[in-house]
Amino acid sequence: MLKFIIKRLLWIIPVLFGVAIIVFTILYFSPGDPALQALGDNASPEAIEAFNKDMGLDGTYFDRLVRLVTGLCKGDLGKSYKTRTPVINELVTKFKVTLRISAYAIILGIILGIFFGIISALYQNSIWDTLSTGVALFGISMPMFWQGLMLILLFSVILNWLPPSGYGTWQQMIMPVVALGVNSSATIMRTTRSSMLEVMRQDYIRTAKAKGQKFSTIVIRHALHNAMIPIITVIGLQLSALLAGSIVTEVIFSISGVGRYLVDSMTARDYAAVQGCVILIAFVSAILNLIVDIIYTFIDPRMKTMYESAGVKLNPKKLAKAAEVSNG
Amino acid sequence: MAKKTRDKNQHHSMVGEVWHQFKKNRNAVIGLIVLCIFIIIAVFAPVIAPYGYDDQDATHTKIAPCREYPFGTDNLGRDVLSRIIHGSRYSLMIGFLAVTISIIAGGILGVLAAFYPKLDNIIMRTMDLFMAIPQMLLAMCIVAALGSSLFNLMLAVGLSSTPQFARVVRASVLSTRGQEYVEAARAIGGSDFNVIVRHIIPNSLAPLIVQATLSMARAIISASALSFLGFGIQAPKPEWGAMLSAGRKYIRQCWWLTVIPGLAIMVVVYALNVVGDGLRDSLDPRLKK
Amino acid sequence: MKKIIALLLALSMIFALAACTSGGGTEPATDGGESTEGGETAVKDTLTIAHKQDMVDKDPINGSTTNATIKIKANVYETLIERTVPESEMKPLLAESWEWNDDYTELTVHIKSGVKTHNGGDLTAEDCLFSLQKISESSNNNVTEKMDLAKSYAVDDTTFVIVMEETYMPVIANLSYPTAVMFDKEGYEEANGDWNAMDIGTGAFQWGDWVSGDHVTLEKFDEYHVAGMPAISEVNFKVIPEDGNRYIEVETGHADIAYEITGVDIDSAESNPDVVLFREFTNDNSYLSFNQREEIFQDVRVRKALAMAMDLQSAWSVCMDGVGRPPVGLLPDNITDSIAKSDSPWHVDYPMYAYNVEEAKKLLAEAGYPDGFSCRYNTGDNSVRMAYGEFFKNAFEKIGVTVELISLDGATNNQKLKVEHDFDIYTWGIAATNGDIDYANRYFWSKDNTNRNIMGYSDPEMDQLIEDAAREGDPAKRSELNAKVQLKALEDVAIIPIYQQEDVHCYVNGLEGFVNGAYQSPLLKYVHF
Repeated sequence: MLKFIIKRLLWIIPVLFGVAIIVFTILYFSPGDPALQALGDNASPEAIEAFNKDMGLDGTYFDRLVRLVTGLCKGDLGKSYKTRTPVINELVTKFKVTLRISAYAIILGIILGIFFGIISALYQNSIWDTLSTGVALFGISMPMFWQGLMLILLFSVILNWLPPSGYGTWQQMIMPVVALGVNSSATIMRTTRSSMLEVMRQDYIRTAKAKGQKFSTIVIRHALHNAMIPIITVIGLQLSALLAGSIVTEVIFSISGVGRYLVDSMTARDYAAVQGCVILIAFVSAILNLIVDIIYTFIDPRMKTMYESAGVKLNPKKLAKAAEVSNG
Repeated sequence: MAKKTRDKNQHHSMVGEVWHQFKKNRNAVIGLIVLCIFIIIAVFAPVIAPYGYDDQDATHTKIAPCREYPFGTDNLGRDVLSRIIHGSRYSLMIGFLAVTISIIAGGILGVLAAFYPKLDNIIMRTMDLFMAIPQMLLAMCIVAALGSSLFNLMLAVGLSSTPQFARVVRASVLSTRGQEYVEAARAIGGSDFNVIVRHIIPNSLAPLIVQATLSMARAIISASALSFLGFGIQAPKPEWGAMLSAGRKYIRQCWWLTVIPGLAIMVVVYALNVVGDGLRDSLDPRLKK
Repeated sequence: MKKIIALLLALSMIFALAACTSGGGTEPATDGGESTEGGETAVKDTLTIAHKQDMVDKDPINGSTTNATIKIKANVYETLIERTVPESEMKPLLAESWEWNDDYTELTVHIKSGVKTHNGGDLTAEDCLFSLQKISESSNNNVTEKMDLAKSYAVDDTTFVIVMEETYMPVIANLSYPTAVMFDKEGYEEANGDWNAMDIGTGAFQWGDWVSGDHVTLEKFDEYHVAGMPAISEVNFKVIPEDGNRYIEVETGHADIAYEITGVDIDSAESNPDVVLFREFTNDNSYLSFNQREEIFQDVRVRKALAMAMDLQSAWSVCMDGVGRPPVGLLPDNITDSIAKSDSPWHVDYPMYAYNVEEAKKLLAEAGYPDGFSCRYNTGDNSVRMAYGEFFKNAFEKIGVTVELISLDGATNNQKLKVEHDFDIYTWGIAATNGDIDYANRYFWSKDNTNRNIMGYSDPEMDQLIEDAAREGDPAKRSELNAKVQLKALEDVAIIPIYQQEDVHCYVNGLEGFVNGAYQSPLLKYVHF
């Protein structure tokens, strides 16, 4: 088990370098002059040259790539063109904000999603089922940014209950968390439902019913337990989706997190910051995926033996993902 | 020759079977109808729309929905209904072409990976790298590099969902490849290309179609989100995300400028999602009731 | 059963933990204003400002000069001379007085004695010369243009002489420019010129903390050189880029001041008795112009035709939501020597070529384009300019000119307009940024190297007029030369001003002393409750 974790952790390293190279390459070919943007219109050629040198913007593609990779080895994400301070400093502060909102959102998503998923699976084709599957489908069909705007329209403009922007107080947290969480809860709900439906049809459930066990015991101990794998997978996928979804949410609610930092940096052509954001998000997604994989082993001891015997070759996530593609 | 016709027949009956199953799902059928309506609207937009999408009227600005302007007018005095109608062209086209791009790119990569074990590792590990970057981020970076235009937006959205398609295609090709008729086709000396085009692709289509429908929904949302953030289409083209973004600042006075384009996106995406769900259910025998 | 619950708990704990550890440093954005509601004794002395964009850097001389940045920096650093708005008068600030010698080649400056810098130093004449020297080495060195700093010298601790290379009248205005700030030499050398590590200005506020993208705080400087100022002990600039949200912050009591509220909020602010609206025209005109490096736009008839296709009044009413106004002249009338002033002897009405579609078509045909032509129009990503772009696209199409709108982000747009000159039509702003009309004149100067002359206008007669105006010491003669520059630019349709910008801020009722400073930076030292 430990060996598996270490192996997976080590695998993150080449992934990060790969991501860094991809992002660097894409941004390398982007138009716009960071120096001009950072120094303003009146910058002299000398100042621009000095800036480029200072920021490591001089040299060929390969020079800069090598510099980036060696920097990454030392844990250095480079300096922001805009503030000329290390990107990592700003990222850490901003990432805490994003992480906090995403954490609340996923908790909300898990609670709502699993609860309604179970309800509609247990009472399939009832009014509750129709209602919650319908609502969930709306949930995944709504663009997140629109949902955020509608919340502002309703709760800030019309009702005047909640502040429309900012971050800190609980009132300010409600709308961003809901805007982010609703989408995930809809996806989690759909997976829970289909996974539960499938499990509930299995023989052992029928056996348990025949044995006269309490209904709640059957649902939670037998059914939910066995339905958990695809659900956990979806939760894992949702975590990375949330990190990306925070981009629009943070823009709409004026929250200074990684998402808005990314958009601002993109418009300011602050590619060092963009690179930093993407690498950090990829890193966190990788770690979250690892955690999800570890959680599998608690849910399903078979997975554990699988890791121990086959090492990384058999990736349970892929198995589960394949199941998810056909299951929903 | 005989084999080919058999394949075709099989294919045909499969379509019939799927349709039969699909018809039973009332929601999916409604979704399909809605989708068809939108497609018709998009195709005949200039005929249906009461005004052009850029017909400005400085004397009729910011009019709330009324009989003359069912969806109101915007700050430049343009009819929102007409813009929504014209906008359906962009959203559907972006969704469709973006998915086409990712099917072609992902399909080629997936088939290559499945068919040539030597390439498999390289292709799939590279795809893993791309998948480590959230789609939206990847699309943003690509648009930043290419510059914002309609085509680049489609390209960015399409390329960013290529890895998913490569995976689905690879998995489904792998499962088809072992089938007897493929072995047989190879045994009688069919070239790789021939086998792929004639046998493997048609028989791996089912999961691909489902994935494509659902991806189209996602592509429309991503594209509108990018336009919303200002990485998308140039004004005055009435892309729904861009309309929303422009109307956002009038949210206090002119609610219709934000509510209506969002609703339009939602309805189309909803329809695509139901159709996708319906297709999946009818293609997947396990979930039949 | 238990296992599952334990698991779910563990899962949520992981995130709760993440949430908690990360949430540690956040405090509610209090405005400290609650005390005023009860039977208060203490006067509120903190200020929360909803600010549009974050400051870019702390560097006042080499750093960013974006509006949002200067709005903050102007409260921390000070210039020798302060320009008032809207009168555009040059007023003593760090300098008590200044005088020219007879041929306007030497400027003697007497600075106020007893001015302390934030790091505890005294501001001396030597510090001022050192500051000017550093500015001349910076990227904003147009401020020290024509100053011969090698020959300039200090007379005593509070007096120094700036020697000029040649007579150059805009120098006074330049000394009021927000990058012409004075600071402590010792402090600068100690910190090796790293502006993030030093606080060596003389302003009424000193740096507090800065969480980029979120907020900047400033603290009262106790030894500020004007007694009794500032009344506010702490200022918090909250960064709220969403346009509509800044006004809502004030309306809901989460901020005391909102900068740059949009036209759509003006009505709400006016009808709200708890909110005071502040409006003032800036000395900025936004204009539309053409790439006059291209043959087609070198023809003045083409430029005139396009100008006549533009209905500026309607455009303003549609695009501006009641902010600003249609332009009153080439330059706003609040600039000294602007011929838009109605009492100016050279006054002409604007627009010089009034809206007339038929006439425009005729001119275009005369110029050899009876069927029009097609071109690109770079609007940038500012929403107002994009709206204008959409409006004019429609208008130009009426005379057969088809336009493709391009709204690039700031950086790329800059590159296209100023470096690559890869554009046909564009929108930009023209202003006498430092308060002297010479700054605006240089937009038409073909030898310009500060990227102001984006359109590539080039006329030797104009160059001569501009240079003569800058060298003319006699105010009356200078006014005449400046008027000629403006008349020529109007006749040649060098640019077509499309709207005049306006500062619209709002603040809570009960806040007093809100004044706008130069460079659209409200001066918070005067603010009190």
